[in-house]
Amino acid sequence: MSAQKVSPSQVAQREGFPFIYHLLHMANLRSVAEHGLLSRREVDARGIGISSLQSEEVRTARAALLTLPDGSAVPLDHYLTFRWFPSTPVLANKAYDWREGKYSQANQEFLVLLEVDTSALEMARELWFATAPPFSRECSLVAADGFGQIPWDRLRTARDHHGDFSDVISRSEILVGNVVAPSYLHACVVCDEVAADRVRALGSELPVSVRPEWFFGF
Amino acid sequence: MDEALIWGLENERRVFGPELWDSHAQADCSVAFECLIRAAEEARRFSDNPEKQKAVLIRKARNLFRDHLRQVYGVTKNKEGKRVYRVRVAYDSSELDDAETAGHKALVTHDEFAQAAMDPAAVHAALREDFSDDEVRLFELIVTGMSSQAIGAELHLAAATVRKRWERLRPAIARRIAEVTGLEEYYVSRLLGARRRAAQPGCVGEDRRTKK
Repeated sequence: MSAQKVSPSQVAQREGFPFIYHLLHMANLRSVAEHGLLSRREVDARGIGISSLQSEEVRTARAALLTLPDGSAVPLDHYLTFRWFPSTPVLANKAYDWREGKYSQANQEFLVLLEVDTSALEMARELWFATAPPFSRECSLVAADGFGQIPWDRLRTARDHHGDFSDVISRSEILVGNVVAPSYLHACVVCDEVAADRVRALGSELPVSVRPEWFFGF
Repeated sequence: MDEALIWGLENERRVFGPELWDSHAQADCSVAFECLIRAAEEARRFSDNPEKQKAVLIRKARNLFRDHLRQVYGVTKNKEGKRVYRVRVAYDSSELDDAETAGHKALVTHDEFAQAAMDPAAVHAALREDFSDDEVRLFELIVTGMSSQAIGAELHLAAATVRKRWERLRPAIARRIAEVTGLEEYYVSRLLGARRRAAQPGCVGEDRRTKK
């Protein structure tokens, strides 16, 4: 008798990860409410104007770096990227004041972490788990049917040690190959009350919560 | 929902004015958005009248965005002698004359570096261990996105000297960051402003650690 097939989102929920997270600029909230979350390539194809957190350099790098296990090359910006927990190195870099050598929330007041229901993974046309940052030499890809083999213990440890990216798994990404509809969005999370008021002023219908600890507000 | 803000977002070109929108604001739309949000907050405090709010929104948003352009990019004179805001151009050592003509632009923009998947505190600590205080100081100023001219003013150096020192230092810094983060060295080099022409023996930009 074959074992019952378990979906990626069921695996994630069983392992204690009911949500996945995506970082975006507040300017894109209205567009996300209308179109859902889109990959960079999809945004360009649809001619939607967005405020990107990515520079031209990084966009160029992300457009050509991913080699799939079958040897085919797919531009990384074909995928929408998520993480299993909110702290991201991008956020850390945004928050880090190089001159002071410490973290500050000053650069994060227009950033939003979108909390997305893992059931969105059920709708993914393509789904990969990158075990390290896709620019890393250590990165390998786990297919959707191999999510049971993801090192969940290491991911839980990384989540519980917020802001510690020493284990490369803490910098891993979930790559989703299509649109995530607005109905899967669970909440907007921001760094302070001022940012929360701004999200409300934009007319967002999503619940807004303030979690400074997710934004390197130690 | 803030109606003045929503009106502003739907009429961005009108708010910033066609000239400013086409030349700068459209390309720098996240900063333009941030100016719009701050302007809307000011307008809300100023009046409950929607028309007055729109007027304040327009005036404040333009002023904030112009302040940003002045601080980050600076002002220059065009061929007709008119003062205009500079446009950000990535510094490219192979086109030094163009870079100098256009103004002393940021060698690395903060946003480029901020996208890299790495732990900044760990990178910073590793650089402090391996490089001199002056070298780390130069790196700290460079990743804040300041222009070479502004960095030079802070370090009491000429802008050209800042650029030359950074060109010498950059390969070794990129290598160390790649070691700490496990990222591809080529990728880090790009983030830190890779040279776009092949390095010539003995010229500026040669890796100081491989120099005999």
